[in-house]
Amino acid sequence: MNLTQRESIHHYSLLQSILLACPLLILLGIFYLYPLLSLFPESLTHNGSFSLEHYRHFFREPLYGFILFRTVRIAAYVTVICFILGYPVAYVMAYMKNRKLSNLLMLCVLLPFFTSILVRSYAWIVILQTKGLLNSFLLSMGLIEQPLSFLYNEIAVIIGMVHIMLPFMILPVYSVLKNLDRNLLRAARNLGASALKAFFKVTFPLSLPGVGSGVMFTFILSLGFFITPALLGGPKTLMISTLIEQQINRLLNWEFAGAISVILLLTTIVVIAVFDKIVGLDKIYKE
Amino acid sequence: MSQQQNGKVGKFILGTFVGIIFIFLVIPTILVVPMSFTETRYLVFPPEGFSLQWHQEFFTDKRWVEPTIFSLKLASLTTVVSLVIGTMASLALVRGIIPGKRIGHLFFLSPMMIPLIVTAFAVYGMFANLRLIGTLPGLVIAHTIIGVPYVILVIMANLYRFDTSLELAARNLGANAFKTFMYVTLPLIKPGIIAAGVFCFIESLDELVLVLFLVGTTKMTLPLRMFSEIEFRIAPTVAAASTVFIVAAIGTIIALSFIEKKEKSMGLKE
Amino acid sequence: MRKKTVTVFFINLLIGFIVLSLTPNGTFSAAHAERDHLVVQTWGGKLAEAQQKAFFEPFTKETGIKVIGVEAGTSVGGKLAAMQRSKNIEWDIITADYESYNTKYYNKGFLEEVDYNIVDNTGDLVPNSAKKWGVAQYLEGVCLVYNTKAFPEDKAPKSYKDFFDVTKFPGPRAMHNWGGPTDNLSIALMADGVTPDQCLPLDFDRAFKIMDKVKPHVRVWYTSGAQLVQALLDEEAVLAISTDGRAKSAISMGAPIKIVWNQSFYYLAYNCVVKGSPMKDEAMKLLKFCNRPEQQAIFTQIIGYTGSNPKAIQYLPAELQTVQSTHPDNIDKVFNIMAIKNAQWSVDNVDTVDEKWNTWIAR
Repeated sequence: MNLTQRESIHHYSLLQSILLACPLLILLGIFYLYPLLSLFPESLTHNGSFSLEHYRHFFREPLYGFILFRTVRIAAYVTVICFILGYPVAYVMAYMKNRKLSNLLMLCVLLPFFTSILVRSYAWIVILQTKGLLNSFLLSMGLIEQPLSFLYNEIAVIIGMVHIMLPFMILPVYSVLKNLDRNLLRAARNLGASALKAFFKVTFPLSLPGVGSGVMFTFILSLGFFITPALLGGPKTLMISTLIEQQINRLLNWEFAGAISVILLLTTIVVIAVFDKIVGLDKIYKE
Repeated sequence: MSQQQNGKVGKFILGTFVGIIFIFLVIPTILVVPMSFTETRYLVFPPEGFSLQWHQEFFTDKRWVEPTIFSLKLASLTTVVSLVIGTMASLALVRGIIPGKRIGHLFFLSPMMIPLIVTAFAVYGMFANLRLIGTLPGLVIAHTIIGVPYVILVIMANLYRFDTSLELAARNLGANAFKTFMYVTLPLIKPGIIAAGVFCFIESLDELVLVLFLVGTTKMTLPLRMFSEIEFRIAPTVAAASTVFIVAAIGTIIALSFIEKKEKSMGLKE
Repeated sequence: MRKKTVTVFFINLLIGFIVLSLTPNGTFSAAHAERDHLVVQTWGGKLAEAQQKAFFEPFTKETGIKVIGVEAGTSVGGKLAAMQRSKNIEWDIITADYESYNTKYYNKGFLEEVDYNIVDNTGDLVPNSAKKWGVAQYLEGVCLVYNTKAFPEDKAPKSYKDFFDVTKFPGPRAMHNWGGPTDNLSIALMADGVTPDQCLPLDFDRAFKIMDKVKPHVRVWYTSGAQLVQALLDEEAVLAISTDGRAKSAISMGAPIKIVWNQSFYYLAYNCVVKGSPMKDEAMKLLKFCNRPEQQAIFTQIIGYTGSNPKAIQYLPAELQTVQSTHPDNIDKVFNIMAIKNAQWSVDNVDTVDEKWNTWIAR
């Protein structure tokens, strides 16, 4: 087979690519991009005329930068924890030989999905509160003498968010691991590599696209979360999206809200770009 | 054979670790089920008494049944549309020779990065002008916009680690591009499609902010209904609704695994 | 190559058809069409039920105009603004309580001026009920509540001062964090001995210093009524600044709490007509209807909030009469927090107060 034929399968031409992406482009263009482009410029106006006032307001009051930083920090914690907890789970699920058990595990991962976020958050309240299950358990085991405060603080928010985000880390990694060519792994073992070495040198690098997806999911979604922090956390876990929501719904300052959103968007992009560079994902996404 | 022993110990540790995480995932979900049978008018654990009234209410009260059906319709349509458009766009992003791929990628993902309240507020006018407020197609469009990022993130990851030699073989055997995609590519990225489909479905089923803005005055979705119920007390009916979904999910997965078993025994699968 | 292109093109077309075919005839007629019914934004749950039974249904019976209630969760302001920006007015009436936010809605041009030629029966209502932009429908009281198990009769707290005294009255507390923090800060000042009329303009430094004393002890900063009720039921908080409606709700569900009426004050919850409503006159008629004492009595019996028309008390059963804020015995003990001196200040400074509050509470 000649090279051009090979290329025509690996790569789509410009026209083909555009046609493929067309429906999404049209949808986003009309219903998303155009409306946002009508809103964001308003963040550059104040009392009718062009002004950077809203952006200045963001940086002038320490509250907003502080909350933005805290939001990014919590999102980062949640992402890292989800990765540490989620990757092994995805690995076990993908390499498990027992089909029945593997299906059961899949069920367990998907199960939290089927309860609404509101309900899940209340379930955590039941578990974490002073007279809740966790404290009762610890007290009865004699591990603590007084009930501990697990609720209405950052710990509760992180636990709640990890619980919601774990499937988003597990499933993409699982789907990539499942499709990996087992022969590669076998070859590595046959060449004398230990199980651990084979994993780190072969399996893990090949699963990076899945990891990249999982990390993006978890991080980006965590940045925008406000239901769980509102219910499980206290004001000490005030997140940037709550602030934005207040500005629009209570104070009708949608121009200011738009400015905060733009800053949030730019921050997200910067953090992702830095992450890609450090982990080397950008090499994968280049051709 | 110490390597073998190490292997066993390693497996045991890994297994225990994973087991604990599964318990972590499952417990809050499981808690919901008994709470839905409480006699009290508010959520309490352990539940007090035993009553089917909340389940009854969920299944018989029109104010719960209609939004549930509407939400299921909305979620299904959203998932189908998102999967189709999203997969197409993923193909273009992974395999297309186009400039500015990175920007395109970020653009398609951006609905996830902009707080939903801002998006809802911004797009309201466009939907209003096109008379899409309070219509099913309108909500499908809105949910697709935020559903496609899920599809793209998952499918792209699957496409990168794709062994194209199978596709090449199919093309060599004479299949055209479309057929190759449908019969070779698609089955191979099935885990990704299922994962992305589940994400889309649940995201639509659980979505509250966009529907608040775009649902108009004549329709109602399940999360809206739950939210209004929760306004005054954390009603056990909400727990009942979740229980029903959990049972449905378990049922579906069990059914799917039976189908897989049958296909395997009939020699249809690998 | 061309085959591929054509295939993709047809897939796109197919998708387009699927989407369009989901549209049965008439689906696109939802929004701008003239409507013949009133749409009222409600807060759902029992409150909406009370409005339905006390006002909407009787109104329909009398005038033939259908009224439907819709909810918008916490996004009332956002949706209102979005509607005004696109001139797609879905609602006719909104029900809102914090006057500072309402005034902002009005100043942005989102609310109609009340037509007092139609709504001509406001004479009996409590003072401040008849505003330019809205008519008060009920009183939302704010009061101290305490857990009777933690504080038996002889040790019970009696005033806001006690709420802030963490040594004499120890225990986890609950306060609201759902907007309108002016009342929290005013309560702090009142606890320090400031009379209501001297609270505004707020002395932020003094108020926050007092709040700092109690802050480590506030376990629940509730953002929804349900959260407060659950906290009282689960006894997560043994002292709380609550609304009277939620307190009564918690008591009815078995929470071991008692209400302290001393120093309690109220907000007025207003019905406002949305600017650009195609049913403006009919909306005004509904506003007028809501002032009727008999109807307000039905409202009170379902939801517990006192109606803005003191005459409604006569229509209540005897045991309910004495606990209404508008009862002659009580009306001098409670006060309207927005009727105190300089209340306008909190309206003018709504953004600043919110921001300062967030800055303080987020650390």
